[in-house]
Amino acid sequence: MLETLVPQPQDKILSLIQMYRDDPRTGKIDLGLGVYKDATGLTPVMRAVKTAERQLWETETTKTYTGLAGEPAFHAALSGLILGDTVTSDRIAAVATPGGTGAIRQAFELVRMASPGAKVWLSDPTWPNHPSILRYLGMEVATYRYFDETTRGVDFGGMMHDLGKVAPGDVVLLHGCCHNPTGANLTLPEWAAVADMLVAKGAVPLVDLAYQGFGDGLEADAAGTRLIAARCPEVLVAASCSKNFGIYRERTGLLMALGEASRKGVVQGNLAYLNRQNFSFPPDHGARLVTMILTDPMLRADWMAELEAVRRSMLGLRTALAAALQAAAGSDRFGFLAAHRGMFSRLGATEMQVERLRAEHGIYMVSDSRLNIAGLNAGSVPVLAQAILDVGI
Amino acid sequence: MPSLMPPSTVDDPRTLVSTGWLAQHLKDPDLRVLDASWHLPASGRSARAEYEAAHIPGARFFDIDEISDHRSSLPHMAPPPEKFISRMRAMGVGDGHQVVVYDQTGLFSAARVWWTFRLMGKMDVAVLDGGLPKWLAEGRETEDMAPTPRDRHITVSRQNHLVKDVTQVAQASKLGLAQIIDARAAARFSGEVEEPRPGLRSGHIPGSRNLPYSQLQNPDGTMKASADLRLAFEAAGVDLSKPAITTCGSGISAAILSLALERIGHRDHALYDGSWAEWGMYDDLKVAKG
Repeated sequence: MLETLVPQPQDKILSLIQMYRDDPRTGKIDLGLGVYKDATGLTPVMRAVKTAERQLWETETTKTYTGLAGEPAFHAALSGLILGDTVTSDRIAAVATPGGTGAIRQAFELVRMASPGAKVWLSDPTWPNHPSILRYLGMEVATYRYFDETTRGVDFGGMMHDLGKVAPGDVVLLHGCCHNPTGANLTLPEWAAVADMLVAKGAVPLVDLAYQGFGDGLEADAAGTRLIAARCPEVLVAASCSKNFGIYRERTGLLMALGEASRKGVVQGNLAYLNRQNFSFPPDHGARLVTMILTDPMLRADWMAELEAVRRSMLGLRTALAAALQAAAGSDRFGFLAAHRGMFSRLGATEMQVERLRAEHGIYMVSDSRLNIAGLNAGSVPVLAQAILDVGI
Repeated sequence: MPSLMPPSTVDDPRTLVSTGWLAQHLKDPDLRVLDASWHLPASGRSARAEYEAAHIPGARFFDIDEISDHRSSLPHMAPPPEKFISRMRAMGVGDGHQVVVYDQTGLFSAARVWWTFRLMGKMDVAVLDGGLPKWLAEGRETEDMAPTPRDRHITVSRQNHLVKDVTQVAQASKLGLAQIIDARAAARFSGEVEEPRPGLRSGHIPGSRNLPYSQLQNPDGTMKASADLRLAFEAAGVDLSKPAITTCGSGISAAILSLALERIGHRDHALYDGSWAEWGMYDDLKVAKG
């Protein structure tokens, strides 16, 4: 049996990590992997997470199974953080999932189960796992224009034109904030126009919210999702706690399905069924920490303060990089870096230029020229700026 | 009658509560309801007379013009703490009370009194969403007899960061350190029409953004959902990454902006108490038009 397997193509980002590790040069810069790193290159455990873990270690009396859908307290705490007062709880069916990827996977499976012919529309470009999981599940994929290669902003005209072709029942995947990989995001009035378009087309939005708190702040980053939730009758939201709580390896995510209150029970049952088929019970440790942090005022305040510091430091690096490039290039053409939000920006460089950055300057980024802003520090900003100009970007 | 309406997402005892919430809590011993109606001088309405004719059971009348700083020549400036304390004591509003403020317009001057309570360090105060008009439209009970209050102790701790004076606003306008948001109607903001108060120049504070408070409300006078509030702020070009200063004609409707900012989680806001009644008066303060 096993001899029939063919090798899978290597994950680009993971092979990049390997190349970076093998690179003997000092002063090499890793802007590849999508993980937050502080100025010293570490991904620390957040203070509130450590405190919650200590409390949990003291008080947890059992490791027996949690609910199939995870703990209702986790659903309530995280849905509150994401949706605020937008949606009443009687419209929210939810399951805990293994990370944001798990939430996306369960969302796609729910779509396939509820509406087998539905096409899923993805932004061009999007996080590579989106099309990859859809293809694996044998689902139909379409793309809508999103990134304007010239301005490095959102091609909103093109996006709306393409969304005009969406059929009733199709699913449109939207990045809630901090678009991965481009860093270019919709304004709130644009979100409103997208919501109205989806309502008019009878399409179902699926919001992937993986970076709440990394862009313009916890509330602002959820604003687009809330507008969608306020206007569209049915909405799926896949959320990740990996980045904003820094608990990547705990695999903590949530899938919410918003719909008519009278259908909540059935939807909830189907979500639990999907968990059962795929892995039975979702991971609990991270979800429990998140619940503790969000419901304890002291922990919550501390977490918010630390998250805000992380956000500001990334924003500072963005601004510094844009300023260094402006000074070195003598033009505003890199101003988009300061306008982008979140951990990533797409530079808009050719694969050849990205390869030259690696070979000649020891600077590693994904071949589509996505760079992880958090991989920079005050010392490497001017180095990167000079290198970008040297390779002719 | 079974209700087909979903439970309200409005209820937050520190910002806004629904009529349903108030009806449910009306008999709570620690609840105090205040009618904080105030009408524009030109309207010909008397808020107190309307209160005496009909108010929500148990409501006391909060007189915005009377409970203000009479040492100032400007209209209804925030009261000195000792005056606020004496009036609240006499009205039987004190420590440990949950306060609900409403007005006869829907969602107007109640927000100003909500802000005044917060200025005095009292956070357990909410505006009634939709006010008396919604309460009446739902056929809920009113009465015409004022309650007999018993003295109640109140502790006040003035939160000076919630209010800005003309010097601070002038500085913010010049340096762009805060986002000034003006709740007046668009034609007053742009300077196309004369100010209703005589002797005031027309226009707005340089660098301020215009968001007429009506744009924060639904047609029934209730406040828009938070998602739409945020949209309204952004559509008005408001930079929410900065601290906010709210302003209007005389500091009443500016408080509606403050309430909306609080609702969307933008907690760093202050109110310019003098507002246009002050800024419009001094020739050495710059005015922008258009």
